[in-house]
Amino acid sequence: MNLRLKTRAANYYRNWMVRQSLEPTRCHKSISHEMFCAETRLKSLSKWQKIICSLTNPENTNRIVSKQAYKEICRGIVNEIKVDIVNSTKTVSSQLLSLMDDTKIQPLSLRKLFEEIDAITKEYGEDNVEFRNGKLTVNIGNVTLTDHEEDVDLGRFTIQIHLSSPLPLDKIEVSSRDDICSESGYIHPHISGVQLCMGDGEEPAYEAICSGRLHDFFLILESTLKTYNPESPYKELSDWYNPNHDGECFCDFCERWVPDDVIVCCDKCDTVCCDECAEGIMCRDCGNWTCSNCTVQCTECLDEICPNCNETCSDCSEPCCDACAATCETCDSIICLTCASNCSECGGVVCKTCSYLCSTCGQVLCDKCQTECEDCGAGMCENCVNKCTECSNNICHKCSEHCCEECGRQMCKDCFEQDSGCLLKETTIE
Amino acid sequence: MIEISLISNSGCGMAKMISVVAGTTLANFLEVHFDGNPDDFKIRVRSNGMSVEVHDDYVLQDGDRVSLTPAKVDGAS
Repeated sequence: MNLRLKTRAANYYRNWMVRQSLEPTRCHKSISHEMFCAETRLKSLSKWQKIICSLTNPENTNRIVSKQAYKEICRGIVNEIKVDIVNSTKTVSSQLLSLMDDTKIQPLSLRKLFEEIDAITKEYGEDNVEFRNGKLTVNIGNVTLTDHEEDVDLGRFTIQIHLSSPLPLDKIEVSSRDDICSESGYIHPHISGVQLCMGDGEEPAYEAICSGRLHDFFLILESTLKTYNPESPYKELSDWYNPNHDGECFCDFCERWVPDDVIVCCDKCDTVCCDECAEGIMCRDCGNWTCSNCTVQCTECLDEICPNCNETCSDCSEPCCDACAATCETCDSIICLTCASNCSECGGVVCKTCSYLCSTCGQVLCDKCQTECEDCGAGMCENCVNKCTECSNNICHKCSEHCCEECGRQMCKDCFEQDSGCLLKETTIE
Repeated sequence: MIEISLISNSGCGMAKMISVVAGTTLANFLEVHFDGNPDDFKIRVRSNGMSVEVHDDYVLQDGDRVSLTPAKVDGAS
C-alpha cells in the first residue's frame, strides 16, 4: 500500500470521525425531545387555565354544564399536565447528568490517522493491507484454534472495514482465504456468514474505532479470531475434526458434543447429559443414574430417590427411601414412618392393617399383644382385660357385669345370668 | 519526568496518561502501572508516530503510547 493510498484511507476515516463528532449524541436528542414535550404541555396548561378563569367569572352566562362539574374536569386535566411537565423536567435533569459521561468522537489529525494506517501495514506487511473503494482490507495470518482435544488449522483470514462508515461493528466483514470449512459449512466457530461475533472484544473494538486507534482495532479482531471460546460458538471446533462425533455424545441440556466418558443417561427417560449438566442421583443400589425430572421424592425426608429402587408404603402408597421405611413385624410389609405405629405393649412396628386399638383405652396394639373379649370379640390391652370371676374368661369393660358392691365379683354375661345370686346381697335385703 | 500514554484493550478498556522518570524501561513501566501479566498481551509502542520494536529494555520516550491488547479474546455466537 503506497503513500497515496495510506493518505486516502486516513482521509476517509477522518471524514467519518468528523461527521460523527457533529452528530448529536443520544443524550442530546433525548434532552431536546423532553424539552419540546414540556413546552407543548406548558402551552396546554396555559389554555386550560384561561378556561377555568372564564368559568369562575360570574359575568360568563354561557355555561353548558354546571360550574362545579367543569371545575372538577379541568382540575383533573391540569393536574395531569402538571405531572407531565414535572416528569419531563426530571428526565432532562437525568440526561444532563449522563451528558457528562457521554463521550463524543473527537476527530484526530490526518497525520495521526495516517500513522495508524502505517502501523497496520507494518504489523501485517505491506502486501497484506489494501485500500480500495473505501474499504480497508487486512490479511491476517494463519488461525489455529484448540479445544484441548485437537489443534485445528483454519487457514488465513481477511478482515474488511468500510473506513467511511466503520460502525456498527456488524458491518465488519471477516472471510476465509483458504475456505477450511466445518462439516456444516462454517469457516470459523465464531463467524456466521462473514460476521464475527466479537463477544468480549466488542466493547474494546468499539472504543478503538471511536478513538481513532485502528491498529488496536485490528489487533483485537485478530485476538478474537485466534481464540476459541467453547462456551458459545456458532459451531463447535469438533465439527472440523470429528464431524461424526465419534466417541462423543450430545448433551441434551447444554446442547454440546462431549466425550462419551463424561456422559450419563437417565435410566427412566433416556435423557443424555454431560457430567456438568447432570442434576439427579446415582443410585447406590442399582448403580443407575436418574435425572432430576424422573427421580421421586421420599415422602418423609423429601430427598430425591431412585424410582426403580425406592420403597413404596403399603398403607399410603407413597415412595420412601430406605432410611424412612419400616417393616411391619406382623405381615412384613414396608411402610413409611408416618404410617408405622408402635405396639404400646411390646413396642413392635405395625402397619395400619395389622394394628388394633384397645376398645377401652384406645392404645395401639399388635396382633400378638391384643386380647379378645370372649363375649363381644373386641380387642383389649393387658391392662384393660377383666377376668370373669366364675369362668375366668377374658371380658372387656363393657361386657363385664358386676354382682354387687359387697362382693365385687365381675362376671361375663353367661355367668351373670346363671348366677344364683350373691349371698351377701340377699342377706342385706332380708 | 516524561508523559506516557497507556492504553489497555481488555474488558471495558482503559486509557490514561502517566508521568514517569526519564529513562524508565518498558518492563519497569508495566511492572508498576499495569496489573495484568504482560505475557498475556500483545504490546505495541508508538513513538513519534512510528511503531517501534518492543523489548523489555526499550527506554520510553516522552509522548510514547503503550498499547496492550489481550492475546486471547473470547468471541461468542
